[in-house]
Amino acid sequence: MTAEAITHPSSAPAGEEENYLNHQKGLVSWLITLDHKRIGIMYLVAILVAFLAGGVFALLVRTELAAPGHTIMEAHTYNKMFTLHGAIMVFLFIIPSIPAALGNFFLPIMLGTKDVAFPRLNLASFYIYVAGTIMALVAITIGDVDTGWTFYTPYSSRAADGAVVWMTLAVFVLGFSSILTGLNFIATVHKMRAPGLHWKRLPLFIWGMYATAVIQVLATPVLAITLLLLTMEATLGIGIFDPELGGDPVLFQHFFWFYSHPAVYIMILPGMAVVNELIATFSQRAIFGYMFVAMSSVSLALLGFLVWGHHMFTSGMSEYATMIFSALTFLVAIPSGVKVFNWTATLYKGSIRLASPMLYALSFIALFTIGGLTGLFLGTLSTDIHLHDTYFVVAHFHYVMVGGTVFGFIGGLHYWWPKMTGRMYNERLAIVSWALVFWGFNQTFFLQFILGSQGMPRRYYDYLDQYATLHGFSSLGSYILGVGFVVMLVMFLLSLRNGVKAPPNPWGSAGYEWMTTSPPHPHNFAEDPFMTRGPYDYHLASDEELFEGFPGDFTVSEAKA
Amino acid sequence: MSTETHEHQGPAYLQHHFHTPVQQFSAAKLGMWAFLSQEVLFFSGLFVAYGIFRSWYPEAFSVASHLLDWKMGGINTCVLLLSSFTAAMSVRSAQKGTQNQTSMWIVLTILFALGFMVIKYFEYAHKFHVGFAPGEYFAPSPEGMEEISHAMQSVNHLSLSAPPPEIRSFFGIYFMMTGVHGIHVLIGIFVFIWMLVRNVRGEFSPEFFTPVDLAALYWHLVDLIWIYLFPLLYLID
Amino acid sequence: MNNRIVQNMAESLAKTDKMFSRTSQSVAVREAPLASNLVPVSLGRLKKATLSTLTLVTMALASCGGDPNGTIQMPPARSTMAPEVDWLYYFIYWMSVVSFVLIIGVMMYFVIRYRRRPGNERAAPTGHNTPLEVLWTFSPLILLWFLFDWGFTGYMQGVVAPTDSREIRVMGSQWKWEFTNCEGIVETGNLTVPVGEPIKLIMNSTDVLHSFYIPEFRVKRDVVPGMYSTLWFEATQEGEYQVFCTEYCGAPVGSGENNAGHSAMMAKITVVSPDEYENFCAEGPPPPAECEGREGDDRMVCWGDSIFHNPGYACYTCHNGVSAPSFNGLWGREGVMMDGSVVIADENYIRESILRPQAKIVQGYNNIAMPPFRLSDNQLDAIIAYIKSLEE
Ligand code: HEA
Ligand code: HEA
Ligand code: CUA
Ligand SMILES: [Cu+2]
Repeated sequence: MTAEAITHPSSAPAGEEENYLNHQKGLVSWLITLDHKRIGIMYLVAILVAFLAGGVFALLVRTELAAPGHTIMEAHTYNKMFTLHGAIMVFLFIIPSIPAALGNFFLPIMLGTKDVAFPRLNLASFYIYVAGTIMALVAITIGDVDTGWTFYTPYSSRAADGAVVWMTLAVFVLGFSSILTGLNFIATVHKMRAPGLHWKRLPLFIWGMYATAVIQVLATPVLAITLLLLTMEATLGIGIFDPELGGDPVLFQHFFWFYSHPAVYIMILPGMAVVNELIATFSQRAIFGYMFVAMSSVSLALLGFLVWGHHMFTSGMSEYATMIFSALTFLVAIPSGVKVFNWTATLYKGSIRLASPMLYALSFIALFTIGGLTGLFLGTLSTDIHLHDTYFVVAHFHYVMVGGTVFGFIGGLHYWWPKMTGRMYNERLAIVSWALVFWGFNQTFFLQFILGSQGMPRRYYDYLDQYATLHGFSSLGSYILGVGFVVMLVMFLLSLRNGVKAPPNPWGSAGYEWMTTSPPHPHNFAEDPFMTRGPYDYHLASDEELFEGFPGDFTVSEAKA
Repeated sequence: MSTETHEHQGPAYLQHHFHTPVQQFSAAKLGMWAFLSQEVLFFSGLFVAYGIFRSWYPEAFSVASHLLDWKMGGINTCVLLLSSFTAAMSVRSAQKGTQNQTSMWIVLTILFALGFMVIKYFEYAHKFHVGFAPGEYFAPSPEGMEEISHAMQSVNHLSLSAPPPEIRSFFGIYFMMTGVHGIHVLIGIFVFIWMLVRNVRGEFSPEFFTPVDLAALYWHLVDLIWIYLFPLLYLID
Repeated sequence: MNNRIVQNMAESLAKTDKMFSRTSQSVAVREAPLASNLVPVSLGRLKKATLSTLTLVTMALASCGGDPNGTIQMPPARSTMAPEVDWLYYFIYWMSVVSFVLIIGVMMYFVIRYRRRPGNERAAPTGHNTPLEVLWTFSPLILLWFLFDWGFTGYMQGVVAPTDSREIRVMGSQWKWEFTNCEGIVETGNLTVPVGEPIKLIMNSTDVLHSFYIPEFRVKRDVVPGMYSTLWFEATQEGEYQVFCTEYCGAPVGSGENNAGHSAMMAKITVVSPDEYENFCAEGPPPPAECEGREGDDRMVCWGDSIFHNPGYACYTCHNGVSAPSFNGLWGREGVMMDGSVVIADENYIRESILRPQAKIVQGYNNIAMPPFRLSDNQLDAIIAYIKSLEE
């Protein structure tokens, strides 16, 4: 039996096939849907709006920094801008991005099940996200949120107006949305796998989601309690973080980073998870060292809990703690390296096609490697003392978060777009926007490494003249980056309007999600699937499965001709 | 090849995306355990804060623990333990399908939980009365000062000359810990009321009693957390 | 001191070299069969060419560490600690460049070599290679351990100040830096220190978190309210160096076009010769900028006024007529002391009151134990001029 036999039901109705988009109509059917695919789409729209908002704040920041001195806003306003940029990007965009949007859509499909384990919880998590977003909007409109995304005390707890409290509570609420998603995924992966889908066959995307979910469930509650304590400190002055009341501001940092370091793996693991799928599909080959890659996700998730102190090397921790945290930080480099090496090895003897999603995957490898290697400068104690809180750190985390996660997310969006919408997009425009984004990104952030090692501090409204040239070029780069994203947005909108209808498996992938129709059936598969081969068993998949292609694409028949 | 169709022949409580009741049950149970681990980590933040402050200000914490009424706390511990027992019994009887008994056990659980809250209310009311309020509202009244000097006598091996100012921090943490716990008790009450409604509607059977089971699991955790809170706050000095 | 560090560095570098050659050797051995059967001649040459251009570009970008005049990546290295940090920085940098070029080079090569084209529609099935996996899982550990060790050693040097360090107090507050130099001279926004002598800063904040950062010295330390933190350095060259605040500390509303708040919380470190420093301690700091351009008495009054209102001395907190005598109308007045003696407030009396505050206490005031201040003669004159100007 081939997988194909199961998943292309011969009984498909003539004309339009029934799919999750057309089987119910109307706004209300969306708002009360329990279908993980529709919830995924709603999440996708929400986070793209958040990304746009965060991006606008980023461009305002870069515009202010384009030249020394006052450019478009005053110092205090600038502080609000980078705070909102950071907080929106982290809490509203990047943390939910891949898991809640793409993960929600594809996790059950890749597991061959009809839905996540708890569909109602899934919808609840979406509305909690919306509630958190609204609270964040309230915070932004009623006053000054200018604490930085890290909310360090006592600056944050002494803020005069209620806006900071609203923002903290918003993040608190958003945390619960994230916890519920993670919890749902854990139960789904454990209990809902289709027959034949044992752990060693699990798509690596699922392994990544699973590892992410573990961190979401175990780390986010600590952020929640931290923010609750911060709220109480700000409103009642309970004396936990404020030294004037007998508290300790460094304790807040420990609490905050105990969540926020694992959170960076909540951000990067999903990006890596997507890249696995892209590399496999576009080199038509199983990921090299499958088990090592899967386990590296899990070990990143676990090791990630032990290194939070590396954000606090200058804060006055004991030397002993500093030593331990530095040593453990280096350990985290190992599983990341394992992934990079295995991806590269996967390309060896592959059949590689540089379609737009693959461009993002390869960019991911390069940019994440730069971001990760610069993490080593920061994990090394004596160099971190010099680099801490300079633009070197800013560049580091944009390389991992934008060059890593965002590139992974965008790559995944391209890759799965035909499946989600049933439409192809214009590949040429996609490549143009990739080139703009890739170029713009590197111009914006590579220069910031040099700014940082030259001593330019972060969160600075103004700077000395010696930094002006690099800042100027960096700002220029950010506009190119912005144009790239706008082109991409246009490309996707065009595809929705008049894209070519997508076949079930346009990329010729052996992955499970391509075995169903595009867009998928409301129940994901017209018939319950039974997995007889792994998602990367290209040598077991038939030519028809892999080379079906879509009009205008490079197909096997062409190759044979 | 699989030929299963989507129209389950299964019972009404089986949600469409599960294959079997067993799968549904074990997924729910796993989800609950994941939720409970999340709860543990949520509270662990408070426990860590407690531990750190205790190690910084041991005198203040010794004195302050004598300002709490260990008798009330003790009674509340018994009440919660009893409620855990009745919660467990409600699961057992739901499992056996004895609907009326299930209702009875659930009602008892709710009553104990309410009892806990009432006692807690009296404790809080007294604390506020003598000015041991959280944060900036901490302003011991003369009565409160008297209680403090009493407490200082019970720890006179420490030979303190003046009340340590960090008693304020102790009460900050005390109200955070017991407050967050109290909210969990409240949520538990609502959950059990909902269970009662569903039980009266006859939704549970020996084949399907998952919600009661999960509610009881949650309740045991709330109980367990109190078991740690009580000695840490009230007993050790 | 310098020699020791250089020697240390040479030793660690020797260690590095050994380690480097060992790892790269073992990698080469393992990968040899793989590589040799992959590299067709033309592509091999292409790769070599790209590699060497890349190397050249990066060489051009970066010279070696510890350059006292700075490099593209690093500001001038002007403390005893800086060269060590720079060496390590450049070591990681080159290690990163080499790993990046290798990984991405191999990746690009594979992408080109194994692109899909007629005859290569189907990939070869993926095999397993457990030894290879184990190798690349564990071999980086050696390098990483080395980084950790080197970084930690350097860090400890930065933490433990030499016992003979000169101590200077630093107070951070929104948004300025104040220094108590020469055991009593207060400077704002500028710190004067001698070259070639270890300086230990003992720092504290009056409000929120700040962080004290001198890029040229490669030192940084958070300044925390309710806690003393320390930082030490030994400047190797005279000159002026920038101090930044690197912990976010807000900004005032309504600063208009001016730089304000966190990003304006800067200071200078003026490193001078030991002789000049001696002089400085004796003479005290020059009058503040706002008094420049004034002449004679006017200038002295302005200077005295700024000292009186300097929060580093904080004279105004007590000299308000309640805790301690007010300065208004003080000049030339007769006062009765605790011991019953009568004193005229003249130059000598004022001098004594500042330098030995407990000597005479005016009747009607408690002895609130005013601390002795160390002011230069010029500063004392300025204060006297200021008090004179308050005569009614
Ligand atoms: C997606 C998010 C993400 C990811 C994945 C990472 C990954 C890493 N980060 Fe980063 N980091 C952030 C997001 C992230 N970080 C953010 C947001 C901040 C700043 C927060 C703030 O202050 O606002 C930060 C700050 C930060 C600091 C604090 C800096 C400071 O403030 O002084 C440190 C210090 O150790 C650090 C280290 C690391 C390390 C060692 C890794 C490692 O996981 C990287 C491992 C990867 C590699 C090493 C590359 C691939 C490996 C190979 C190719 C193998 C071959 C090479 C060798 C083994 C040498 N990061
Ligand atoms: C996911 C996280 C994320 C992302 C994506 C970004 C993206 C960007 N960030 Fe930033 N950034 C942070 C997280 C992130 N950032 C954090 C956490 C901080 C620290 C804050 C703090 O200190 O507290 C920070 C700080 C920070 C600073 C430092 C400010 C300072 O210290 O003073 C700067 C300065 O250059 C900057 C710039 C940028 C730029 C130019 C982008 C660009 O990449 C943005 C480009 C994006 C757009 C222009 C949007 C375009 C979108 C659309 C058109 C619609 C999308 C739709 C589709 C594509 C379908 N960011
Ligand atoms: Cu002080 Cu930033
Ligand atoms: Cu981190």
